[in-house]
Amino acid sequence: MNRLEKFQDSYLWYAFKRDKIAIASLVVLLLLVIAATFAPLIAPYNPYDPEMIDIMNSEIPPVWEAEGDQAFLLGTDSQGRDMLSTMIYGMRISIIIGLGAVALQAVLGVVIGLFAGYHGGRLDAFFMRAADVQLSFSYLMVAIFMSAILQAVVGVSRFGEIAIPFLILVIGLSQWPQYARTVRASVLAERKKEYVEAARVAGFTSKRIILSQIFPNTLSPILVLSTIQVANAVMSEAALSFLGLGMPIDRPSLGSLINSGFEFIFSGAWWITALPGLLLVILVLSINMLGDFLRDVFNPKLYKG
Amino acid sequence: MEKLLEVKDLVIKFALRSGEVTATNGVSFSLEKGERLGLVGESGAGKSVTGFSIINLISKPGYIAAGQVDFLGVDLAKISNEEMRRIRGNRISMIFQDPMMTLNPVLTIGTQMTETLHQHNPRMGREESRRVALDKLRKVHIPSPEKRLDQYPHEFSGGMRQRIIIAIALLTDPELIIADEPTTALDVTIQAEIMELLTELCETEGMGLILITHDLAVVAQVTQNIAVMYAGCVVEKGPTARVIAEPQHPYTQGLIAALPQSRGHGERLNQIPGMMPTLKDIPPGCAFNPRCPYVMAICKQQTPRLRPGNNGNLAACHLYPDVK
Repeated sequence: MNRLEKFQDSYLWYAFKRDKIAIASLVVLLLLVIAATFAPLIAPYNPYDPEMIDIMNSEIPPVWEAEGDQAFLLGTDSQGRDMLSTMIYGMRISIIIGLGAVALQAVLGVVIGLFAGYHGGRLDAFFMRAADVQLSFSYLMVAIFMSAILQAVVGVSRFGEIAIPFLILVIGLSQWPQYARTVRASVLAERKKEYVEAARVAGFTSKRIILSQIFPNTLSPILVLSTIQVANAVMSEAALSFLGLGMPIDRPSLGSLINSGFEFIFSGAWWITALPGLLLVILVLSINMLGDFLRDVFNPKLYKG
Repeated sequence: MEKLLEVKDLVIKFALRSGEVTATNGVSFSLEKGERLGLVGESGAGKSVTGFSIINLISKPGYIAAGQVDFLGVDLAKISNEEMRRIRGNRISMIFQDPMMTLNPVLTIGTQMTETLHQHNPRMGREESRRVALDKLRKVHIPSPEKRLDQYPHEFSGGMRQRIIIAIALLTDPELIIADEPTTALDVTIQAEIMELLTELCETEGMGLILITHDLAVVAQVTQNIAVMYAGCVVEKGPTARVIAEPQHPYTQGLIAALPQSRGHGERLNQIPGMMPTLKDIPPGCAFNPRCPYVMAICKQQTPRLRPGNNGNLAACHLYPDVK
């Protein structure tokens, strides 16, 4: 039986076929991710190219409005950029930052959670208290501190170039305790099981017990948590950018787009804020719905009937 | 015959908050190459703790307070953790009670077997380790092992899983296998199969076996020698047939009289009056004295050493004259 057949035979696939919400979320998410991945091919304009931007085109409403222009499907923003293209490029940045931040959190949190949970004692106490301290102040505060320091060091003008790695770092570092706690909790349950004892008796080193025996048993909570965390990271990025701490306006993410349109809401240009906002909601919602589905599949005890 | 393992005056203590508790008090026994020894006793007699002490894996707060565990001339109670880890699962393997629990539920049998091989032999290639695993699965009579290697533990029955666990124990061709109640969780027909398989493997591979159990019938079927434990001490040692036919220590006599086979249909079973003392309040002198039908004044003052009984079995009992 090859991998594909095995997958088609699995409970995951069976449950997926019967869950309309999960199918719809996956379809929407896939469309968005494909659009983001192939942004230069799909988007009608390149919002990073000043040649293609004409300030005279600013604040054109979407086509269905009376003053709409066929050339700009979803209208333009205050600088004359095509909204559709800018949103697709912005979503690309949001997704990159979201995935990058989650990858960072996951590596940090999973490694810390595994070793702290397995070894216990001082190591465990140290990291878990560190996690408590970390969670006791907002990531926004950390981000404000760090971006202030960074902007002072590299200069405001060059900040835009390092904004993406900076956001990945800030969001990644601020959320590792989520992973560490989840993983540690399942390690605490797993390490009492007899297969761990058997591995110890078989002369396994503790590193091998942790990585090759316990880690595979903690994968399902990690997977469920990851979907939620990607959605959270995308929202965190949007929040930071909205506050002006994230992506600069010449390379906007969804959050900085929402922010840039904010001052035009009352002048009637609602689309500059509302459309990226809507896209953000759809993106986060589809990820969260898929996460809910995965949680139900991997934890049948929560079965709702 | 060459000595494989010699346990000498092993004292294991547990440092509890309420004070120290002695789990075994001077256990001694030895095993020759290829010998099968039964460690018999009721729950709490110290059998399993003795088994774990051989591979130096007593769970905290237990520790080896005194004594030696000589394995082919190396004292396992003294060597470093790293040296001990290399022996565990490599030259001494252990088989546990519950085959439903000891396999990792999310890894295939093949992965678990090759992991064990790679741990002890990092240079072994993928093909080679798969070949060894297949070979061992055949040895424990798993049908179509090529297919089985890629299956998960839940796809096997209890008896099959215990065979796989035995196959994993065999992977590195150990000199000694410690089996801690290997058939307790299985039903009776499977029990017999597993015990036969273990006996057969010990004979063909020349492995030593320590069988820890409370089941005298299993011990009688498999082992050559028996050590009977009571309250942390070995009370009787000798060849299996002789210990069962002519037990010397009053405790062993009581155990054997309590077997259902010893009574006719409809009769009440024999039992030894009283309970084994908990490790915290072992009586002075012989630990068995409150339950012993032949109790004498000396039994309450002096702990008896092992001495020859009437038929050559060693028994720790004042009924027989002590020899220096």
